[in-house]
Amino acid sequence: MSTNPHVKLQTNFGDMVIELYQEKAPKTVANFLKYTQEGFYDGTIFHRVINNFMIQGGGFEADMKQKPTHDPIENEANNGLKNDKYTLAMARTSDPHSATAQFFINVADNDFLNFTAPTSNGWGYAVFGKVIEGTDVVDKIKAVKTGNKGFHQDVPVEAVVIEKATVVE
Amino acid sequence: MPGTVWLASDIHLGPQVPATQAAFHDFLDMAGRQADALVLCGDIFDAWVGDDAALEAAPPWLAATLEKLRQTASLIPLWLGRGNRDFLLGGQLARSLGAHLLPDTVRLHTDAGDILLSHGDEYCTADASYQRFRRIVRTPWIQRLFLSLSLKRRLRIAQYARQRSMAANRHKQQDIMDVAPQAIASAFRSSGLGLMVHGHTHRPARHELLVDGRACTRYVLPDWDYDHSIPPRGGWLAIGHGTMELRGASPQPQPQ
Repeated sequence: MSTNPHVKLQTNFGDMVIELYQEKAPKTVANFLKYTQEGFYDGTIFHRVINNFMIQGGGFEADMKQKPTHDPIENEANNGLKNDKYTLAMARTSDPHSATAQFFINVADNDFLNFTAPTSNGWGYAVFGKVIEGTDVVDKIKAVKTGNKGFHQDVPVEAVVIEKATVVE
Repeated sequence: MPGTVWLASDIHLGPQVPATQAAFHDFLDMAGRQADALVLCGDIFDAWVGDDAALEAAPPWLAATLEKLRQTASLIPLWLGRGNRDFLLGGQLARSLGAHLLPDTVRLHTDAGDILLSHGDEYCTADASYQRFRRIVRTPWIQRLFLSLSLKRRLRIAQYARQRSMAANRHKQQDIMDVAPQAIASAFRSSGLGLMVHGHTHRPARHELLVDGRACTRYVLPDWDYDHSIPPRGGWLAIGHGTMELRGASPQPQPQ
């Protein structure tokens, strides 16, 4: 039994449990736990779903309003963890060290998102956890119908809502 | 300007970019709800031949955008700056929208610090022919003369100038249409500021640089194109308490 923390995401598509790799990605895990414990993720949606790539969420409410976040964190993508299927990584802007609350779940082995060099193109995306229960829920979400919603593309037509995120004791 | 300030530029609105216009209207709605102030620093419109023309005889697409801008300005302070395309945009339009007109270069006090803000074309000093054109069209008496012409003649002159410019730009090297490093350094030096934001070049980025040993940061705003570009381009800079973040443009990660 690992001593890694676990977080349960209850969604309107079903529940999933995530194991967080505390040792390999300490800052990212602490950041994710902080948002979870604050209830930040409750009511946020998976707002960007691209089948065979990833599902991204944790930053917008159902009306596509972006929630205010804490300061960005350091990118820990150079920790050796790979963007493999069902792993979680931090989303960010084109600035490598700009991740705040949004994360994504890889739904394929996305090798091209892995760290290769400490440059703006090579930093990659910091993996910090993996879905260990409820991968079928991820499979259901990745296949939903998407469209454009105002400023955004690949937005699920029917909202995929994280109803509650809790740290599992 | 305390609170959340959003900055955008280079939307290049015109009659033939309905998707870009729709995205921009959504952006204005969002700004009205989520920002404390909105600053649009140049080339909001792809062409501008006078405030009077826009206010008295706006085609439907333009009337819709002006109404949206008016709505936004009723919710939050709205600042409009002039670009190299819409340099004739003036106080008459700003007043009619309930917006404020920005000077060409301005020092913006924000919660993230003082920012040197402009459209950015003044830094493209390697493009001598453009700078010559810029000096001429920014001459007040020439502007007055142009604005005294009939709308039909103004439109004809604008179209001619645009064709000349496109033909000339085809033969210009890419790098002379970007900002000149010396011009950037000199602006940081003379302003004494460490933060700069501009648009114009359509090369969105965050650049870290040293000027006389001083760490400076330059943000370049993206241009917008939801009609011809896949994936669509567009976005803005969100300034908050100690934070500056480019948003909207190509959400990350992007598929391969």
